[in-house]
Amino acid sequence: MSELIEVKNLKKYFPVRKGLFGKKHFVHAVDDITFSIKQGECFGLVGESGCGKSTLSRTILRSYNPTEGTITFSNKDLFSLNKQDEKQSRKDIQMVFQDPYWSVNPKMTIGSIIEEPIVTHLKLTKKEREAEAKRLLHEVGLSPDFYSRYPHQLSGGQRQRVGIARAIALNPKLIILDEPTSALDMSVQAQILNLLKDLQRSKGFTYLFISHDLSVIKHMCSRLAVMYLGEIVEMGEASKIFKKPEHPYTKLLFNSLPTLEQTDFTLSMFEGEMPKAIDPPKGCRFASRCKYAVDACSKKQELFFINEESSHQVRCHLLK
Amino acid sequence: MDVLLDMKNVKVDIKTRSGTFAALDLEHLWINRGETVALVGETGSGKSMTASAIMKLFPTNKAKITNGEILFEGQDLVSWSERKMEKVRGKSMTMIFQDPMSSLNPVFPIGEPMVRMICKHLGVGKKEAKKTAIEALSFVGLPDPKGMMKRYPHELSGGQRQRVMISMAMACKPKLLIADEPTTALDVTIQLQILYLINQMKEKQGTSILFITHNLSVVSHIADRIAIMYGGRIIETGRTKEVFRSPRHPYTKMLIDAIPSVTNDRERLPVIEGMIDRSIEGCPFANRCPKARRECSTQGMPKLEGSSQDHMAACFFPLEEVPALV
Amino acid sequence: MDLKTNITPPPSMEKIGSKSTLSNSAFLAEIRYFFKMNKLAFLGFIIIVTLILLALLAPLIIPYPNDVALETHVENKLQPPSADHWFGTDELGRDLFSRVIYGTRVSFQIGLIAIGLAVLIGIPLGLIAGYFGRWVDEVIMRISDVFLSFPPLLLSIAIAALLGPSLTNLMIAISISWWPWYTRLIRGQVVSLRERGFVEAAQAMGVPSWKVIARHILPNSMAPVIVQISMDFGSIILTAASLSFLGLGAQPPLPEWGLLINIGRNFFLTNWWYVTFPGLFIFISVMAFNLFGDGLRDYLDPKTRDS
Repeated sequence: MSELIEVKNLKKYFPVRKGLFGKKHFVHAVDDITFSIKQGECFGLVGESGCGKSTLSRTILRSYNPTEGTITFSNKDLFSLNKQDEKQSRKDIQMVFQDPYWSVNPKMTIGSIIEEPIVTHLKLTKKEREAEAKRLLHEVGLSPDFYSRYPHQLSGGQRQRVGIARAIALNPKLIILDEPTSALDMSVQAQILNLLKDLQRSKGFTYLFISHDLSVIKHMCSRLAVMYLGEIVEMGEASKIFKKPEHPYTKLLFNSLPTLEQTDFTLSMFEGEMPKAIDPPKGCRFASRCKYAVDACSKKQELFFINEESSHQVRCHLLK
Repeated sequence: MDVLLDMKNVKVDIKTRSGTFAALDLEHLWINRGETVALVGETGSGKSMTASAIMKLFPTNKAKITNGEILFEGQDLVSWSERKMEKVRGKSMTMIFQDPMSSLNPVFPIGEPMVRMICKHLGVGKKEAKKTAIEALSFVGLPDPKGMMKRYPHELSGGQRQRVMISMAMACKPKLLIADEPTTALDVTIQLQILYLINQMKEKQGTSILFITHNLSVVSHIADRIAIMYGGRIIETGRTKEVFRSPRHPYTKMLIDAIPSVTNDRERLPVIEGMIDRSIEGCPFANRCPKARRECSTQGMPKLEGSSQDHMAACFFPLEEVPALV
Repeated sequence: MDLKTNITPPPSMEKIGSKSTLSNSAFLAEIRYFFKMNKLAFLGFIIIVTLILLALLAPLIIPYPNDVALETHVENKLQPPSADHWFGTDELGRDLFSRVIYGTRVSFQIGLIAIGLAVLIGIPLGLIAGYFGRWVDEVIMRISDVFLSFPPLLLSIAIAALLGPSLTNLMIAISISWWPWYTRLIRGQVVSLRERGFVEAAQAMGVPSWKVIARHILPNSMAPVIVQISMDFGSIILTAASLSFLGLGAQPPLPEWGLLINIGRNFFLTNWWYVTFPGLFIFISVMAFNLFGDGLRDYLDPKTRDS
């Protein structure tokens, strides 16, 4: 399989000023991130709020320009495209948003919501567009009657299906799924996850699946990266990481996850929260919360392969 | 064990433009002293309405308790006046919400409402109240509790705000804490901290907890007993382990199965087809239930039944009990 | 958390200012509901409709159409209200009823044009400021701050005085002092809408900016503007009357309410009806717009809505 998208040393800093004349600080929202997603795979991105996963996805969508680094998509640099390629890439990368209540325009019919990408990129007659929209509705498991309805007449799960229909309308190569089920009820979540899997199988979509819910990532993804404070701390095949998480932060995430299977789970206190990413420390960013931390952790840490054949990478010198 | 809260046949109606709508029809829900009961259900299942009924604080003045009794320490709250309720709220029973920002006044430092509330409910002086507040803040593990008193809500993170809410709730040593989705907006590691603290309240102060959530996985670690709600009714209730080991109601079973799991691999998740239909007669789940027979919608509402109070389900044809592994 | 989520949502939670999302009969039912819930708004609405009808039909219904202009009947001057002259007559013997009713037409015309201008300036600027942000936003908002720092009445007086007294200048003065309110309002809406998924989705899929603004932002930010317009209409009528009262707006013989009061003021102690009736009309129309606007705001604001 070939790489569809390669993110290399991507950095995105946001300037903040404390007070009117204060010194300029930088939020290191995304800091030196490198990863790639293969054609047709589902790549998971896990992390807590504020870890930079949203900034990363917005940079791939090109809502932001990166501070440094490159993103190569279909062998082309995303940030130096000519006009035609630029348009093509807008077609090829689509996104499904977290909150279905917020991500569809309440003033538009379902039909015109789904038709919007088609109108923007394809030259179809009104009739063809309507037929296409109805086909897409069918594809995401909604009846064509929904075509002329309005979002407020739909449930959360149905709205999310509309969001998915809009995202797949142009047959994109990459779909960014930004917590697509975290605002939904459990039984609806299962429906949406199944739909996403079916679509991937039948259409060969590539997914970047962002979530804080490890069990959902486990269900969906073949590879994953764990982010902490703008950096990837662990990356590799999902099955390997779920079997044996290596980085102390990944371990913490796994241990925090309440699951139905663990019956001997005891609630214990783990202190601390992820700090803000303003001028983060040079060394390991997790050191302040890590129970294994030693002095050497204040030195710069690099991501390294812990297991070459499964390409399992970790950013923790204690594991060297 | 002795019962702290006992709700029987509580019905709440909401008047809407299109007529009266039965928001809640609760056959039986009880909470013992020093026990955590989790109320689990999906959007619109009536779980928050149950909390509103206990506090007698409804989100709209169109909602009314029309039937039943809510016995709190043996006294029926339904007949209580608003003034009498005011004395109980915050003192004997208190509530924390999903979004603590909405219940903290942004113009006051967080110490302000804490001290005011402690003065009011415990009848102590300002100095004493301040001491109690600082103790409570340090109990929930907030760094520098003294300085924390002077900080404003917007200076805190979501997890810290929720801790402040818990410390406020526990300062008056309530008998009942209603936690309405307290961890839904939080990250997993922070969620664990909040669950821990809520559990501490139960263990250290003997507070009874009604934990409302839509997340079944969370429930399994905090609740002694759970009650599953569907369509404004409790459809299964029992000891947490019992219910998870051998769910009796098809809905409970399907809900448990729909959760993606970290340990086992399933290509597809089983789903519950269809949507809730409030207009149907009989069992509210009948239109989506794979096991439904004609009788389900003709015999009226199923009642909560079981071999003991430790496990009951409201289903005409409950699932076979899975024998316990000995 | 939003306790309301637990109640089955009312048939249309997001109808906010959008007739199109409802079928025709549902729209009528919605209106009926709105007035049933807001009895005072209904009163305001009835008064407004009556006033609009009076304004439109004024030339046809007033008993002495010629009295609107310069015609004089000095022999009839300053008559108290009677069967012939319901509101009495003025110092030149003209029928006050005819003049006050015709004044409705003048006031509504001023209100409509002044608000139209203010909205036409304010909304595009607000959209641009909110959508593009950065320095564009800074420039537009700082300019509007300058205007906002004066009380609108005072600013209108200053501008009207600068431009010279005339009806056109009056309307220009009022719209110049009112547009920043709309810019502000719209900008706030746009800034919050920009965060919403559908705007982001449209941008990401390469929909051009003007289309994003026209399709996604404008329709979703109109609700508070409509409320604001209905509230401002009253204030603008009042401001126009004040300016005319000061001699900065309408000029005699045009029967503008403020102007009528200004002249009637000289006869206030002996001829009460001269100032009373135009004053009453100002009062009633301002009140009607406020009642209607208040009701509309409550209806459109999800926080004060209970159903």
